[in-house]
Parts: sequence; C-alpha cells; structure tokens
Amino acid sequence: MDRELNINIMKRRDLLKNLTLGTAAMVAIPAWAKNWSANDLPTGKILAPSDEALFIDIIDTLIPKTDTPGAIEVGVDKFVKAMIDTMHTEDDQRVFYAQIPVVDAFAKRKQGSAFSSLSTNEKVECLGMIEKNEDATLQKFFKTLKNYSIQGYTGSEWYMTEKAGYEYAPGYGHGCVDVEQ
Amino acid sequence: MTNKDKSSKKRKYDAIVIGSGISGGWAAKELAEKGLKTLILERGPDVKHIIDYPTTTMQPWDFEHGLNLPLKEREENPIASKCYIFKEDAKQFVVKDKEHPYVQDKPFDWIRGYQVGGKSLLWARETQRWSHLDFEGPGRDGFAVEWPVTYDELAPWYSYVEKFAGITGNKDGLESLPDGEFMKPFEQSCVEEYFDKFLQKNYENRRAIIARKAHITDPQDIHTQQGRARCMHRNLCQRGCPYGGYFSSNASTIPWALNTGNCTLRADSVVQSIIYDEQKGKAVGVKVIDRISKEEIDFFADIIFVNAAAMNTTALLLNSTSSRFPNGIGNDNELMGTHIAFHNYRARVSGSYEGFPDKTTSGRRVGGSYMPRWRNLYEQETDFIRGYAAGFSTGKGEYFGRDGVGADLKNNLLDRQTGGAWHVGSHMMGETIPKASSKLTLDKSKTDEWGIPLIHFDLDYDDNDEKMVKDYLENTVDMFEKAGFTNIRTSDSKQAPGLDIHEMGGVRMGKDPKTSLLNKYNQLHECKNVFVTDGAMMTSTSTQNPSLTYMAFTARAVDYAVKEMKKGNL
Repeated sequence: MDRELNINIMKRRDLLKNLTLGTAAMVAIPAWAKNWSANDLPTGKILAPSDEALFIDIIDTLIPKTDTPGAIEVGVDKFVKAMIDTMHTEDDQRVFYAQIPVVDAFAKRKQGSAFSSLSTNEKVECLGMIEKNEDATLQKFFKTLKNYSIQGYTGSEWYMTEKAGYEYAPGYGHGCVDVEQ
Repeated sequence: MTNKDKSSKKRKYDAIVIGSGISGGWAAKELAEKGLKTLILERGPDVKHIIDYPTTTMQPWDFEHGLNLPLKEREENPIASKCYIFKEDAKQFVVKDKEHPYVQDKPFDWIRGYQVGGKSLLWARETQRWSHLDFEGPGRDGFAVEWPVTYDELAPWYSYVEKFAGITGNKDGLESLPDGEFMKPFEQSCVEEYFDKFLQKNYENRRAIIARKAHITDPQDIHTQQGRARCMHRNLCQRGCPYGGYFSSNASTIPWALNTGNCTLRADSVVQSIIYDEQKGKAVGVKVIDRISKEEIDFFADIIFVNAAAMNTTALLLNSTSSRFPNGIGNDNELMGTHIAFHNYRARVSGSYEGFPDKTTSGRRVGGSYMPRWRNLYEQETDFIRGYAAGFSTGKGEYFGRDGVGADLKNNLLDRQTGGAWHVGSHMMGETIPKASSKLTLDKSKTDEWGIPLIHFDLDYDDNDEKMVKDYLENTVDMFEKAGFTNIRTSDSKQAPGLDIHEMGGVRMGKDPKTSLLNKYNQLHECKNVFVTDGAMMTSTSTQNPSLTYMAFTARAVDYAVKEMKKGNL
C-alpha cells in the first residue's frame, strides 16, 4: 500500500483519537472532524502577487460573502489551485494561469478600469461579460474557474453540514419518507 | 527467518493458506479453529483492521481533490483508473499497473488488491446464494462440465458462513435465489416496492427484491465477539470500516484466526510455487520470495489451501512444476488455465418515474434492489443460453442551479431542491460461458520483480454474450415502459472483461479427473493435499456475486480436509 499517503494522512490528524470499538452507538462525529479549516489545504502554485490578488478577487466576486460565508472564507481559492495543479497538463495549467491578467485587460477595455478598482456590481457585470465573451481561451478559463469554484464551495465543510444536510454516519437509510417542504 | 536457518522445523506447519482475501481468511479461520497450526501467506503488506485504514474517518472536505485522482496518477494507471474504487480515498488498496504487469491478447482489465484482506476490503458486499438451477446449469445446457456438488450439499455451509459473516436480507421464498440466515433487511424505496409489485403482477418469476449484503443490521453475539458493530450507513466501505459493519477478512476472519493462538500471518510473502515431493507423492510446502528482501524461503505443511484469487491461484499452480507435473501441479489433463469466465456487466438502462412525487429517501441507503435471474430459468427460451441478474436502484437527487455570477450564483447554490421525479436504473450481471479458448497461460519470456513468469490472458466476449446484452436491453426497456417509467436511456459500455472483478475458473471442479482439475471437495484430483477454494474452482459462473459461494466452499473443504487428516488419508 501507499505508505507515503498513509504517513501524510496520519500526520494530518491523529486518526483514531476519538474512535472506540465494539459499540453500536458511535454515531457522533469525532470532535476533531469539525475543526477542519481551509488552512489545512496546500497553498498551491505561487503566483505573482498581482495575479494572486486578482485571482482571489475574481473568486470572491463569483461567490461573495453575504450573511453566509463566501468562497474565499471556505478556501475555494486553494481548492481551485489544487485541482488546476493536479488535474491538468502543464500546458493547460500555464494557459489557465496566464488568463488571470487577461481579466484585468478585459475590465480595462470594457469598463475603463482595472478589475480591482471596479465596484462590486461592476465586477459582477465584468465576470458576466467574460462568461459570454467570444474569446475561446478566456471563456474556457472562466468556465473551468467557475466549475471548480462551485465544486469547492458545495464540497466545503460549511456547505455540506449547514446546507446539504451531510451526516458522517447517519445510521439509517429510509426508503420512503415525505419530502420536506 | 530464511532458508539459511538450520532448522526447517521452525518453518513447518500443519496447514498453509496462500492468500488472505475473502476465501483465504475463511480457510485460515476454519483451520486454526480446528486446532491446526496454520500459516497464512499474503503477498502484499499487512493491513490491520482500523489501524491501517488511513482514510476511513476522513470527511469529504478533507480530501484535497474532492476524491478525484491527479492526472499523473490516472495516466500512470490506465487499467486501475477504470475501476470505480480507484479514487483518492481507497487508491492505496488497488494494485498499480506498473508494479504488477501482465500480458493481454485482447483487453482484460484486471483489478487486484495485493494486501492482507485482499479485495475483501473493496468488494460490493452482495451475497446471494446459488440455487439448484445454477448448479444444474452446465449439465442442463451442455457447456463446461457438470458441477460435482449440489445445492443441497452446499446449503448447510452457506448457513454456516452467513451466520458468522453477518448477512442482511429478506426471506423472499424464491426457488431461484434461496433464502439464507438473514438479519433484518435494508429498506426498499417506494419505487422499488412498486416495481416489485408490478413485476409480480405481470410476469412469472420476475422480482425486484432488496439486496442481500454482508452488512450487520442487527448484531448478534457472534459479531460482537469479533469486535464488529452495526453498519452505520456511511457508504465508505472501500476505505475499510472502523465499525466492522461489513464483512472483510481484516475485520473478521483473520483476527479471529490469529486469536486462536494457532495461526501465524506472514505478509510480504510472494508464493512462487508449491513444492511437490516425488517420493511422498504429495505437496510438502511452498517456495516464498520475500516481497521486500527478495530472499527465498521455503515453508512446509501437510495440507495447502490455495486462495491467491482466481487468476493468481491458477498461475501459481501452473508455475509449480516438477518431473511428475511438468505442466503444473495437478495438471495432467492440461486443462489448467482454460475455461476462464467472468460476469458481463456491460449494459445499463436508466429512466425517470413521476410517481410518489411527495416521497423521497433519507439518511444513506447502503444498497438498492436486485432482480434475480429470470431468463432461461426453467427452460431454454432464447437463441442464447443462460441469463442475467440485474441491479435495480432508485433515488431522488437533490440539485441546485449553477447560473449567474455573484449573489445570483450564490443564491442558486444555496437553494437546494429535491428532484421532482425519481431516477431509476438497472445494470446487467450476465453469466458468461467458460470455454477452452478463454485462457490464461504463463509467459516464461517475461518475469516480474520477483522472477515469476507474467500471466498472459486470452479471452473475450462471444456471440452468446452479445445476444444476451441485446436481450437484457430489450426486456428491461420493455419492463420500464410498461411500469410507467419515462426518459428511458440504454447504454452498452463495451467494457473489457475483468472490470466486473468477477473473473472465475482456471482450476475447475468436476466429477471426472480427465475433464476437471478439482474433485467435489476442492482437492486437486492428482494431488490430494492441495485444495483450491477461491474463484479458480468455479465450473460455471451463473449470475450471483460469487464471494459468498467461495466462503461456503472453503468452510466445507476445510471440514473435509481436517476429517481426512484425522483418518490419516492426507
């Protein structure tokens, strides 16, 4: 078996800390499982500071913080990088990251100002235009970014436990219950 | 300990079990419980229950890539990557392509688990008994050879292993799928119940019953004694279960065997061959290559159980040559390695059902429903022989919108809805016919890291399989339409043999030593102290998930072996 994986994971958390055996009443989620934070994810590719700031700004605009957490708070930026850096060829990675400053150029061309200087509404408008723009490379960048952002956001601890009703060990599987209104 | 050690007595046991997967674990448990000093040899590393399940308690958001495997790993493992188990959470239990190469004439996607527990950590846990109709198949339809064992002979052993392993199911009273020793069943969905009633009303012999699985739903003393508890419906079985909620060698038979004090487990022990003694006229031990040090070590025993998984068991016997057995031990008729078969999992049908709009499922369901074989059940009905079982699953998905940017997108993501219609799905599990041309040979020109010849596969689907796929699709669509399902879609994945992970045969059982390799007690006809009780023994495949049948045959063979030893016959 993959010892490296094993060790890495064991390092990350004391795996069996809260597990006891031989009882059927082990439904509770171990305390540590609730304490995960976005800081546990790897930092990912180091970008130029201006690109990094813009990357964060784009994702923050895409799924903003309101009275509930936004994408950045749950670590979506790190998740997107983790996916780009491992699920794509090196060529595709380069093409992806090279599109970040293109968003700025797009904002300047269409709205007369750098992305970061736009108002929240203008930023939303800018990304809306990018989603529908005709440059295939820029459009693909945005589609990839949006898909991974949605995957990261809806897969985050906050979303899964608070919004998707995720239970670690439900202990049951009913076949026919009323749909909750 | 190596061969350099003076005393070979230290390396002498009453029994050796080669392999620690689902059947090897059972062999070890039974042998050790009956007081035999038993050695289990496992080619891979140890996997201790719970301790060596590194991902088992991880939450979905703990995985860096949402369970997806990096491109590099997928590219390095084109075969393993086809398997649904090979994901971020369980990849450590699946053999990597490069480490254990093999040769294929036609594509054969061989999925393996080289560790203590083998694939028992990873299996789908479906446990259906064979019926007399299955055992009588080859005789009735004139293929392979007749089984030397009847359902009635095996039935008590099914009961025996079911009680210990822990099987959930419903007593459905079907001749085609005999009832077992069941703990309370999982629940069917409203749509599965509806479909079952529809089938009963409109057809003979067609049912959709709740899946029978090796999960503990109502722990009995025998399960508590194993340190196993009720299934908590996590559906993360492939990581290893911290509750021991499903049956695996790791959670059940191996610790049980070790606790007897009669059993030793040696991991990292690649068995190269079985040693045959010409004077004694029987097998006396095995030759092991240490996986890590590559040292050669011989171990000795009075009886040997070969449970290395069907294809590896066959290859190991073929590689065990001597002047008495130049073609492999017990292989006088040169049939060893032929008549390999598997299950045909290519076809699927899916659709929607608008009924029960205000109902859904809750918690997490562990299994769906199961349609036992109905085609050609009592008589030949079609222009192909045998038939298929099918999985039948239903559910209501939750969904959310993905449109927009900013607050609009976020509102969409947070507005989760339960789907209006149910989705329904069926997948085929077809019997394939063992043929002389479907075979495994050793490629002596190529060897692995341990100097052992590579396995060379030569098998494929045949015309019977193609006709069966067509029949399954036509009939399932017809049943779905008549049941009122809509949006019906069919697919034929054309997946290569092997991906079903139900490869069987190579050392088949039979009545006649001229046409089979094993007798009715799983002994090699020509070398009676060697027993084969894994998938290699299978004379035919029928449609049931095979593991439960391996367990029953193994317990029965050990019982016989020990009785024969006591009589001085082995």
